Amino acid sequence: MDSVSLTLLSQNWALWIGFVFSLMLFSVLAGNHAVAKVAQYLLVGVSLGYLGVLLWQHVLNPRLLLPLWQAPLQDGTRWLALLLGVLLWLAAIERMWLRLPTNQPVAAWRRTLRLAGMIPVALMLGVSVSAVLLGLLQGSLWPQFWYTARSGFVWSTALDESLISVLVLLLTTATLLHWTAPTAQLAAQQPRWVQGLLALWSGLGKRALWFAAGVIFARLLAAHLSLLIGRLQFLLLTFQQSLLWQSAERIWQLLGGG
Amino acid sequence: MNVIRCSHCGTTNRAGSNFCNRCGTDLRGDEPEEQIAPPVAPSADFGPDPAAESEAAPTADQEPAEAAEATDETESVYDPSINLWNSAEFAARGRRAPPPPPPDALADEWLDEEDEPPAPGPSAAPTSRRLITGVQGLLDPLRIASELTERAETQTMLSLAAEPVALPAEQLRRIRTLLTQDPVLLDMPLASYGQSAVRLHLPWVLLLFSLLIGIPILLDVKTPIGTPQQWPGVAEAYTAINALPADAAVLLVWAYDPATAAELDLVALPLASHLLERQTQPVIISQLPGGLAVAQRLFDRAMTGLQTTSTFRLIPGREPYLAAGYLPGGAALLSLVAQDPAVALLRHVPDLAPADGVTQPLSSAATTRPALTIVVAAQAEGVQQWLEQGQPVQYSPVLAFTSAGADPVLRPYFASSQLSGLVSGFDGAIAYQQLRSVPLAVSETALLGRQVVLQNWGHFGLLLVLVLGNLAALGRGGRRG
Repeated sequence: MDSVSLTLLSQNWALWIGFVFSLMLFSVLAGNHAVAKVAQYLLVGVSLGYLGVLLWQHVLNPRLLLPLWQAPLQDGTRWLALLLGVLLWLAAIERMWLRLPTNQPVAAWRRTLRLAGMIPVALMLGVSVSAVLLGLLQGSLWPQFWYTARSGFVWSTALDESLISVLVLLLTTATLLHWTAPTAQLAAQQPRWVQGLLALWSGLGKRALWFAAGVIFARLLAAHLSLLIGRLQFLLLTFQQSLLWQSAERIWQLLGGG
Repeated sequence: MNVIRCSHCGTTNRAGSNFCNRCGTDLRGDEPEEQIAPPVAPSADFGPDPAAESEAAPTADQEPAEAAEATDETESVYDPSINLWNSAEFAARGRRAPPPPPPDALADEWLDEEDEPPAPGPSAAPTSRRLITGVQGLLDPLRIASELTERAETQTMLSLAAEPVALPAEQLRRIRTLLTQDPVLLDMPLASYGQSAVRLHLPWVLLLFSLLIGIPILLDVKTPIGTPQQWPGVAEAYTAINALPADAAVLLVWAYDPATAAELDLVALPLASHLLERQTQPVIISQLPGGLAVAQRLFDRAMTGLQTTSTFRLIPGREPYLAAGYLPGGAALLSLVAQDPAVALLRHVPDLAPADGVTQPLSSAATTRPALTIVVAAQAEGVQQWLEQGQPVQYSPVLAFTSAGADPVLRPYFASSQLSGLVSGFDGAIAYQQLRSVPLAVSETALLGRQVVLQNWGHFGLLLVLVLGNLAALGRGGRRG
C-alpha cells in the first residue's frame, strides 16, 4: 500500500468505523447473529460510557463536587443532594451486587439500607410526576380544550370558514361518539331511524380516526425515509471515497480512454 | 414415592416440585424426606381403593406422630363426593378444603356427570397425575402442573383438548373466572388468519426501498425534483427570527441526537444559518447525551457555509453561540431553566482550573429572559415538554423545528398559538430556506435538493409496495374463489 493510500485511510478512519458499524447493525436484517449482537453491545456500552463522562463533566463535577470543595458551607442543600445520591448508590449496589439466595433471611442493615434508598427514589418520582401532571394540565389539556371550545363552531360570512367549523364540529362529535359510546347497545331500544343515524355518525367518526392515523403514518414514513436516505448517503459516499471505488473509477476511465 | 413436605403448611408434594401445591412456598432447597407407596391408577368408577384406605387409616401400632401424618395424608386424598370448589363442604372447610381431583378423574366426572354419577366414597388420588390442583380459596392461586410426564396423562390431556366437554353453566362460569380475568373474551370470535392471508416480508420491503434510494445516489440521479409542500407555520417562523435584533438571546432546546440527525440536520441547518446571519446569541441546552455535540457540529457547519458569503460578520469578542450544557433531569428541569436560567445554565469549561471559576454562569444574554425559544426536536414530546414546563413560566414565543413525523401531533399547538411557528421535515426546511436571501453553501443546497429527489424515489417505492401488496392479495383471493 503506497503512502497516498495510507493517508487516505488515516483521514477517513472515523468514516470507516462508522461504515463498518453501520453495516454490522444493518445485518440484523439477516437475523440476530453474533456480528449484529457485538455491534449492539458495543453501541450500548459506548453510549453508556459517553453518558457517564457527560454526567461527570456537566453535572456532578461542576454543579456538586466543585462547589462543595470550593465553599463547603455556602449552600447546605448541596450536601443534602450528595447524601441522597450516595444513599441511592449504596442501595443500588446492595441490590445489584450483593444478591442473596431467595430462601435466606435479609439482614437488618440491608433492610434499613433498602428503606433508606427509597427516599431519593420517592423524591425523584414525586417531583417528576407532579411536574409532568401540572405541565400536562397547564401546557396541553387546558389550552387545547380552551382553543377547541372557542373555535369549534364559528359562524362566519365566509362560506369556507363556516364549512370548516361545521366539519370540525361534526368530526369531533363523531369521533367522540365512536370512541366513547357503544352506539349499537345504547340505541338497541330506539327506533330504527335513530339506530341508523347513530350508526352513520359513529361510522363517520371511525373513518375520521382512520384518516388521522393515516396522516400520522404518512408523516412518520416521510421521517423514516429521510433517515434511511441519510444513512444510505453516508454509506455509499463513504464507499465512494474508498480505494476500491477510486480504483474502479480509474479502471473505468482507462477502459473508456479517459 | 418420594415426597417433599412443605415447611410452611405441611402439605406433601411430589418429589421434584419447585413450589408447594398448597401455599406456593419455594421447595427448591428442600430434600425429599419420606417414601410413600406409589400411586395406584384410579378405577373407572372411582370406587374405594384398598391401598389408599390402608395408607390413609392409621393403625394401632403406629406412633401418634405417624398417625397424624397419616391423617394428613388422608386429607390430600381425593373424595369425589365433594363437588369441587363450589360445594357447601368446601365453603365450610375454608382454607383446609381438600385438593381437587386429578384431571383425568375430573374429566371423567365432567364427562360422566349426566350419564353416570361417580360412586361415593374415598378413592386414592394419583398425585403424580394431577394437572390442576389447589383451587381451594379466593386467595390461593390456580396451579397447573408444569410438565406431563406420564403417557396416560398426556392421552387424557389430548382427549380433553379434542373433545368438547359439556359443563353446567355455573361451573363453566366459575372456571372461566378462575382461568381468565375477562371471561367475556372467550365468547368473542377470534380472528384467524389462514394460509391464504398475504404476509408482509419486511426484509424484502426494506431491500426494495434500499435499492430505490441507493441506485439514484450512486448514479447521481437528479429527477424527479418536484415542489416541496408549503406547510403553514414556516413563514411565521421565518418572520419571528428575521425580526430579532442583533445580540438578542435565543434559547435553543436541542432535542435530537445522532440517531435522528440524518433528517433533523437538514431541518436545523437553515435555522442555525439564519440565527448566525442575524447575529443573535443562541444559547443551546440539551437533555440528550449526544444532543449538544450534534448542535455544536451543526452550528460550525452553518458558520463555515456563511463565511463563504461576503455579508457575514462575527461580533468581535463574542462567541457566535453558547453551548450551555447537557441538562439531564427530565421535564422537571425545564421549568427551572425557564424560571431561573442563571441557576440552571452554568458555563462548562473543563479545561479551566477550579480557581478560575468553572461554575460561573453564562453571559448576561443567556441568563436573562430570551427573546425567543426554539425547540429542535425529533419527537413531538420534545416540543410538548417545553410547552408544558417552560412556556407557562417564561412566556416567550416558541418556535418548533421538528421531524416530519412530529408534525401532525404539533399542528394543534400551532393552531392554538402556543407555537408561533412550525417547520417540519425536509420540505419545511426547503421552504424556510427559500424565504431567506442568504443561500446555504453550495454543497448544503445540493444536499437538500438531492434529499427531495431521493424522497420522491422513496415515495415511489411505497406506491410500489402498496400496488404489489394489493395485487398479491387480489391474486390470492381470486385463486381461493
